Amino acid sequence: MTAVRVYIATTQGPSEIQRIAVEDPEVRSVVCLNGTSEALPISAAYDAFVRKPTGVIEKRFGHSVFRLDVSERVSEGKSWHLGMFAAHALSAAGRLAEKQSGAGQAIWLSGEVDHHLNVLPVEHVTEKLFQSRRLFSDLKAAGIQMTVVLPRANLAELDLRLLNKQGLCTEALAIVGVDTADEVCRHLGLADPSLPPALAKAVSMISPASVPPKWMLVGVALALGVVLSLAAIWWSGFGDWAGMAEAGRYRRLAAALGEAESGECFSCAISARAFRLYADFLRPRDGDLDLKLIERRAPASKSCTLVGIGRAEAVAVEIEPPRSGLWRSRAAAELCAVAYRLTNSGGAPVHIWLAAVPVGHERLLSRNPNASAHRRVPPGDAITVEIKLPQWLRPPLTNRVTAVIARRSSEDVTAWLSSAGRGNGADWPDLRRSLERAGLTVLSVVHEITP
Amino acid sequence: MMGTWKTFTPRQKAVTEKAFEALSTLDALTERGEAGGEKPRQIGFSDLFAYVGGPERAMDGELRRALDRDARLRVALDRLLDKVSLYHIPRLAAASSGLVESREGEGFRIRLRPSRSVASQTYVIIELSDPLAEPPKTMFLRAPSNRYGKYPLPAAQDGIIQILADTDSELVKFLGEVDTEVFLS
Repeated sequence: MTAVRVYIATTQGPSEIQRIAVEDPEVRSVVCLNGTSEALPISAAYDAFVRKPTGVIEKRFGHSVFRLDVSERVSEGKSWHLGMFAAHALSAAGRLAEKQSGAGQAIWLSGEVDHHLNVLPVEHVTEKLFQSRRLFSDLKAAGIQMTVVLPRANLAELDLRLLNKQGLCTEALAIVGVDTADEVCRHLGLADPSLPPALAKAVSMISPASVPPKWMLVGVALALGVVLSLAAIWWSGFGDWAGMAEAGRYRRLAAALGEAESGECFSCAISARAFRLYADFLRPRDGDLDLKLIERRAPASKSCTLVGIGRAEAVAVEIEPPRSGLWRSRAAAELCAVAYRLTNSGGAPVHIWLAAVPVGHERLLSRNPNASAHRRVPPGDAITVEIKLPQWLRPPLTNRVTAVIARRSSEDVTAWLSSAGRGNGADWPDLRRSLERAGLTVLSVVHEITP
Repeated sequence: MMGTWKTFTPRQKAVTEKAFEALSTLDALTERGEAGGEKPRQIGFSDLFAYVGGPERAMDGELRRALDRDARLRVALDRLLDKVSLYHIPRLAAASSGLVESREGEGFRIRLRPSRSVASQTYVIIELSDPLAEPPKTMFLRAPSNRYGKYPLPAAQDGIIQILADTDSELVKFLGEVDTEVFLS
């Protein structure tokens, strides 16, 4: 299949789309001038055109952030939509002619694309065509077919006789009017972009010349049924949620799943159920996470004061989590500190947020305000938080030890845990539900230390 | 007068602007008096104010040289930047060393993210904690050895401002140095 060069029509002249490259999901999409670091002012609008929920590119082509280079400035307005959509479709099919690579075909577009991929009319089409006269004649001389694609409403208004009279040789151009962006894809011989990429590829591989036997047709129909069901699940939210989980956007994920489960959309509810199964499958297995309490006590006839100034070494005792979910320690026998250690005994690295939050005893633990930690924990490694106890513990002390485990780092989890302030822990059940709703693994044990 | 520009009431801002105008007029009068001589033009408060407040005014050679040789002028510029800035990141603690990829100040964070598609370019991402807060329009950097940089900022999108810059540009280099102070105004 031939590579196609894409031109965006502007009133200043045509601007060639030189390159589309996938960018880091942590940044915003950007339109740059000619490979330089100059980001054009339409970058913000391009980001909105790409990124879900407003954008259409991520929805169709499955990635949220791109860098796109153009040869000339493209100013404000929305008529660049159609050209950029076509360029993304060609790029996804490996057929976009990039800068300094050969092209067998060229396409010049102007049109606004709405959220449903309808192509809306634009202004100044005649002016844009005149500004591209030189490009059209150069391509004609080079023997490259040029197709002009316009919204159908604009096509009806075009006065070809006037254009020809004024020196624009429209006979050399194939002028096409479209109502939807998908029509552009079909015109370019691209697979239907409304299908998921894998299915679109499969459909494009079906050759009309091959006539398979009946049993094979039934098999293909069944297989297609399965693929279509999977596609329905994917398009009903699964794909979006997987993307959110991958990007660590757990707050949005929890909200979206909650909405899908409580809404009236049947396929969304099925998709949410499928996503829960998928998330459960990815969770660490029983035995992959090993939480231990470590009591550090002063040795016989020594005090915690001596341990604190380094004149004696504490004796560490490791204690498994109790089945009841409640650890109990006695502070009377020179308990200097308690530590909580979570070991990743699984085969894959995980991100762990571990915190020991005093319940109702904020002032007692003012010396240890940061009994929390978060980091990526490779297999076999552990994360630990430690609390030094007050020398003279009078009232009982209760810590809630919580661990949140995720496959990706996420500021959402940090913010969630920060929002659970100290106090009586009344907000913890709600918070736990939110975390689990987002597919995160949560461990929680209460530790009571009595004088 | 205590407080910063963002904490001023409209009336306080108006009074401050009038005071700046008066100082600028004084600078202009002083300059006119020296115009006939061979001495280089004296850089005054009006130049600093124009540099900080004028979106188009860049750091020219004259202002740079004046700042290099006059510690009091640098103090005046630092104070002015501190007063007009909406957000500020002081130098990182001495214990920090080397290059940084992320800087945090009250109400915002700045991250450096290398481009995946063009290795020689880096994204500078400014994230405002409150997307509804007044977004800054200019970033000033005060790097070690008295070097200043001024960079106009594009409009914020949902509290995020993004700049693409060459990795070996002053902007990226300055932001990567722990000693650089950041002012957003």
